[in-house]
Amino acid sequence: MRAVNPVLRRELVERWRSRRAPVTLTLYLAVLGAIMYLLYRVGVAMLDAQFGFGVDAASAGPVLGRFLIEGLFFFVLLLVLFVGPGYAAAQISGERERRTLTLLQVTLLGPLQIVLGKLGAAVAWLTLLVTAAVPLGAAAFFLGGFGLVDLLRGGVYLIVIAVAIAAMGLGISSLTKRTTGSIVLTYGLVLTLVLGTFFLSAVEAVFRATRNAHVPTPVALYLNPFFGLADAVNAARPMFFEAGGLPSPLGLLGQALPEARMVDEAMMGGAIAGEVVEAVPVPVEEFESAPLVPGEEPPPVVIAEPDLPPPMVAPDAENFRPGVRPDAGPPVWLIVMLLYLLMGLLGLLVATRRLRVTEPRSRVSATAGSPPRPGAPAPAAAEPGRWERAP
Amino acid sequence: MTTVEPEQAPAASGAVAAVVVRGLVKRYGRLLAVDHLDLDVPAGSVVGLIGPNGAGKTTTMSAITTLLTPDAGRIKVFGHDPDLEPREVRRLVGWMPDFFGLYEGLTCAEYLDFFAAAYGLAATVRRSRVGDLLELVDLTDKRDTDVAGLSRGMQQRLGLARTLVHDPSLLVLDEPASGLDPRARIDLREILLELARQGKTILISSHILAELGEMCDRVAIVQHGRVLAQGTPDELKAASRGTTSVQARILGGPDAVQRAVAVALDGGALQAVGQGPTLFAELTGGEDAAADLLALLVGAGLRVVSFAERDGGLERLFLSVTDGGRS
Repeated sequence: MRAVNPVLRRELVERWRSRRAPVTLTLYLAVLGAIMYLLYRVGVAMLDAQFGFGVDAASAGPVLGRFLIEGLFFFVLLLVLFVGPGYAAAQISGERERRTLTLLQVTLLGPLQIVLGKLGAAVAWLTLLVTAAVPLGAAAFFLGGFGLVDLLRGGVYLIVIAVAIAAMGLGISSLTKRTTGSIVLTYGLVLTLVLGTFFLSAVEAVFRATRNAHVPTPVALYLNPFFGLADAVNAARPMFFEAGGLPSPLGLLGQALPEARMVDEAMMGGAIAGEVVEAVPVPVEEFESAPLVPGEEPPPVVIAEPDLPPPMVAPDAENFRPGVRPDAGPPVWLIVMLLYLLMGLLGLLVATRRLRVTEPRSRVSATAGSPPRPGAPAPAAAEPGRWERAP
Repeated sequence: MTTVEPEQAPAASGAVAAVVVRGLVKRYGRLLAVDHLDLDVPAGSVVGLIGPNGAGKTTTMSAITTLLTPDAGRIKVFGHDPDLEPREVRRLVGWMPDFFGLYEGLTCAEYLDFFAAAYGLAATVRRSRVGDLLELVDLTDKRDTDVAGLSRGMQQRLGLARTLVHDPSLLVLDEPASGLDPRARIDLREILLELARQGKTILISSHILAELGEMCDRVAIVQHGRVLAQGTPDELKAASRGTTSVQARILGGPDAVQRAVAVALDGGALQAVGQGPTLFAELTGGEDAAADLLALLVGAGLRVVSFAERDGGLERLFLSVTDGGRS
């Protein structure tokens, strides 16, 4: 059995003995819980406004369910971006401040082992934050409106993005002397990635709009973590409001996704109109409810992917399947994830390099006092035997 | 894993060399921290590095313990170059810096266990090693105490235990006695002597001279990044014979003391410094020189309250060797 990385083990012990982690986790869940409750109330109120009072909750369920789950994903990412990077940003500079870094460097632990131990601790913490939020989706699970694939893809996406940002935080942490500086810089980076990319996208969109009519997805958005999340959970719906969906933050963001990534409009319309699509057998009879709006013969919809997982709970999800779309175009969430992985890798590389103490000898002889004579062999490395006497 | 054979170093006089440093140079920007420093530490000996703050002791120790790359010069630790074979050197060397790196929330036993794990020791080995070390430094009853709750002396002893977790052959101890009360200092010395008896080579630094005099086999006096003299305490004593140190308390504030310094230097003192109301001077010659200086001071109108030849020992030796060598 291979031994656990000692740095990782120590980080975990230290983290969970301090009061900070449990307090942070409790606050995080409390805030998230309150947000979910508010979202539920808002969702119900909007449904009322759209369809009049006395909406049958069961038939509107999937719409509300999707609204809730998109809200949950959005706010989990928001809070994780709020709580997560600080921990990583303090890790290496914190060792420097406690003056334990050199003590570590003088042991047989390599720089990579130290960095990976730190990263492991960050991964554990972030995974905990994401998974702890799962029960808050319980109401949404009951209402339906999304598939298991949406959940899994969204969850994996969240963790990968959070870990990549933590890795960047580690890189920044290795560069700064003080933890405060490291934390400020790391949150500055997060803000740039979240708000800065929006700003850049707006500039790009305006710029393009003045030149031609066609405005494609702005490039900077591919660096925005929320944008990728919208794609990962299939939040993109064209004209979603008219079609009867509820405007979740991710749904709004999804408007910027390339058209090919949009969920089929006809399907949305059909679903809200209450049409039974292609007679998918509804297992529980008593849940069948009257259509909200009497439809006027929409074209029959062909479900493109028959192997999709069954909807979570509500039987109406059978005719409301926003997750279904002809998968076209490169998956945006994957592109965003890869970009973040690259940036995270860069952070790890920087941290590992910074933790190295002994530089390669060649650089030393290049910076040594007397310049090497032309034609003479490199002074130190070439002749390891001849070191006895300095003149 | 291969066992490391201590290598016969060519420069050491017959004995196996634990550390050989030749022509070590390290610059920090424009500051020349170490300036062609040569040092020999024979295996099994206790060697003291003595010098004022900023003399280059810590820099030299960092270079020996693989923590920095010298700008020039060569170092061998049991035949290994810290720069080229850092892992071998780290395995052989235990380093105790002049600070205590604290992990809050860990007990003493966990603290040692963590560092033992960082040296790649198996869990079973670690358990007995940690117990042994806590006993050696007399912290067995603090085993489950948070390291943050230890006194300075206990932290220092725990730090010493930390340097021993991987059973190194060479201990590099940077100012281990600084900030300790006399009792704790004696405890520390006892432990170090015990380690020396067990055959560990010890390189120890200090700017407080008295604490090293009794325990070092060899002493190297460092100033401005150079070793000015090294040898056994007896050898150095012999070399410093023929000089006298005196101290005089002068009334009349800093100006008067400064004037006294000038008078002493004009009168041929090797070195003279003022510290508070006291003049310290190093003179060539014996008691006559001291009497002459007193006459000069009084003749210059200075009000001398006390005038005494200073007790010799290493402190005097240090003063004479460091600044006598420069002028």
